[in-house]
Amino acid sequence: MKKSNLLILMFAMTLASCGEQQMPDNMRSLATGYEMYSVHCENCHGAEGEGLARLIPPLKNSDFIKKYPDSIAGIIRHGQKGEILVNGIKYNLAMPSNSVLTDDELSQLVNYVKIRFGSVKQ
Amino acid sequence: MRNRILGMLMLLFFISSCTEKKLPILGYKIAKVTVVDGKEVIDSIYPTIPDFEFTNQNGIKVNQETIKNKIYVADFFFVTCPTICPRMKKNLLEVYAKYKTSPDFLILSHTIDPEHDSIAVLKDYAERLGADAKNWHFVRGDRETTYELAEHGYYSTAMADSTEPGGFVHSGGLILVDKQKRIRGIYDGTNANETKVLIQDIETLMNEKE
Ligand code: HEC
Repeated sequence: MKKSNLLILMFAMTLASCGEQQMPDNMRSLATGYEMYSVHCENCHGAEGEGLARLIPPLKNSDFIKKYPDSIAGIIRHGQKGEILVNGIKYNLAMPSNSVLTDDELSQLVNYVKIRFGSVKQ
Repeated sequence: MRNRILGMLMLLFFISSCTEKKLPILGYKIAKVTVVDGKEVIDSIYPTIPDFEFTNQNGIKVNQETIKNKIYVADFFFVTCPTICPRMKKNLLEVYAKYKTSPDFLILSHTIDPEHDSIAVLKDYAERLGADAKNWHFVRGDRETTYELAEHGYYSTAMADSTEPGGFVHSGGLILVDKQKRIRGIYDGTNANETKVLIQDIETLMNEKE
């Protein structure tokens, strides 16, 4: 093995062991988010967050989430009603409130939605 | 002798491979008594969808005349449904995209919540979905009539013949009906793969000789 390769390998190993304390937590949180999404959101917003025609707005690349990142938790908890503009299209159907999610699950879900659907760069 | 058997076998093989695929007709046959020349004649026939009358998203009457000589897909939903309906509609959109230009094809979506789903609500819903009232009817009637039709017209018939363990998937069913108003298939509308089978089966049904 060349010396430079060995160095890179060692560097990678150190990185991996450093990250070990943080990674699992992060991963677990995303896994919860994913699970919550499939249970509570996917039926309406779709597996890829694509939404449904002009009935249900997309989450994928939603400019609404980018513009109002702090409103997402409230929308999930309390629902959303009335006309709403997402990526230039007007939607107007009620999204029901969700009182089943715990506060932890809710924040993990919001985090997941932001990362998964592209309004936050990871 | 041997050659003859072989020849017959080959012939049989040919015949069986030539016959086209046919969809099953669902439901137990029922006896129908008619009087011909003063004599009672008992026929055993497959159950058919009973007559009905609903109003669609444009306020137009939809009844057995609407489905006359049409192959159609029926489903039951409601606009505010938080669970499986959006998924079903998404899959139905795929079916619609494939057959919306066929003159003898229709979709009939029945609301089971007529109190909320007024004609105006259905119209808005249909338009947002991209459905044309010409061949995708969103219909409402009174609740009792709709449930009655669902249970006894579409579902029980389908259930009677279901070979699946646990029977027919009660909610989320897409029901395929032929030009003789007989049920030819039930599909889980929440499942993308079953929807693909439905799309295939519609094609088979369209090619079926009457
Ligand atoms: C019953 C269907 C339904 C369910 C379930 C649902 N939503 Fe919605 N959602 C909607 C509709 C409809 C709107 C638009 C509401 C309006 O027109 O005012 C919406 C709007 C949104 C918006 C703001 C607009 C956008 O697309 O950026 C976000 C974010 C959102 N939903 C996230 C979620 C999350 C996360 C879940 C899971 C907890 C969820 N929704 C569950 C139907 C639903």
